[in-house]
Amino acid sequence: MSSEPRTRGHGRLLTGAAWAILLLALWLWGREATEGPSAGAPATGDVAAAGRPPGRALPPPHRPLPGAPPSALTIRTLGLHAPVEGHGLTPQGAVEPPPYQRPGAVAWYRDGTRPGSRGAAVLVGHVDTERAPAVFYDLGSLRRGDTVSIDRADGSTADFTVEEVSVVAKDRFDPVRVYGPHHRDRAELRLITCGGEYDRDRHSYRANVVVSAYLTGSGRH
Amino acid sequence: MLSVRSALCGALTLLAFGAVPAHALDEPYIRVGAVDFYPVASRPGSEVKIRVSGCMGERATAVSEALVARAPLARDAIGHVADATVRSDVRPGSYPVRIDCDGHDGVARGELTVVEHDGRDRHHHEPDSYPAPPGREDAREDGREDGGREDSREDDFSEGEHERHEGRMPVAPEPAGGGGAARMAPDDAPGMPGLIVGGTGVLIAGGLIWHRRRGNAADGNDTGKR
Repeated sequence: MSSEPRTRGHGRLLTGAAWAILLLALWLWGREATEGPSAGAPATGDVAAAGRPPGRALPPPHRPLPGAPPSALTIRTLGLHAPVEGHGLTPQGAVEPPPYQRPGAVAWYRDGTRPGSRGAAVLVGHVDTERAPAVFYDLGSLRRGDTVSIDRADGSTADFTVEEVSVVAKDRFDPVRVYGPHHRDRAELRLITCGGEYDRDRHSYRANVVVSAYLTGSGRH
Repeated sequence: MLSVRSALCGALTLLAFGAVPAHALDEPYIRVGAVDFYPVASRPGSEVKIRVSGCMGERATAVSEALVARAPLARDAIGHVADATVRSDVRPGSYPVRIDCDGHDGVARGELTVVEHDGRDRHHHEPDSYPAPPGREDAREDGREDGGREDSREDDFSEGEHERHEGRMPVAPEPAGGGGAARMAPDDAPGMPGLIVGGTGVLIAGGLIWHRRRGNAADGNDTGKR
């Protein structure tokens, strides 16, 4: 074939570029296959290790505070500041979340532990409504070592340090592990929302994202 | 008549036992260590099925202060199981359950969750001097709750440090998402790498065609000019 030298040069360039793009794509593909879903949607299991290096210690627990009900929740790393309201249990025995009409609110189980008191205080918020993200949309991106603050009705703030972020399948759900305290003599906090895969047939998520934290400081607000 | 009944009972029992190994794993057990409980949360005075795997001998025993007595577990196809009875006078909470087997005590441990007898949030022995704030039961649609109003029983605790659960512990997963912003699973969407590979294929094909055309045109022109 009597091609001009110029055309042959262009051909080489094209082939080289195509190979480079192909290799890049294969590399990206392989990376995605091994690393799994993004930080916003953790796979089932314990993703806490994705935060601080495991060797680095968390702060020591703070002595539990005098009891006071919560009024607001602040998570600086998520840019979140939300009102907290007391709720009871649903007929099925879960903490009742706020109605979807107020997707920015966070529910606290009012018949359980108050945030800052000994035991595990439970806070629940929606990850999304039927149309849009809601207050706990980014909850799964919290990592071990992050800080969560609760404003309380007596003017004090209870600061908690995250020690575990888990995705718990609803059909293998251990309420003792999720809702119960992990250590005696500590003031603990649970932040819970939905996560995992959304089952469109059942109109519900398959799992809960559960953030476990413990009291490490106190202040005023 | 009696013998027909007994025969029927016997037949049903045989069916039940026969069915257990096949369906045992379908029941919604809660796994705590190597000890499983069904149902996941029990009421005082009710029966709870306790299952443990890993014991080698014929017998095992479940011991807990929440049970009326030590419960002997019998071996079945997949482990050891017993129907134990929760004491009717036990308070709601979680109670450790110890499994003894193979000549050792405490080879496995679990936590049995006991929930309140009636279905309501309210405790029976809430002091009469603290009337419930109005509208407490129907707080759902009323907008934001005033946190300070909730705790009329605040005076009950001189120190929050000694706080106990007033109500029963939650036992069910949270229904907390409408799915409107659900993230697609990785294999649902084609994904960026897939798009790049596809795009590259198109580019290569287009480039080759263009390349060929230029080459052919050059050849054609050369030939034509002669």
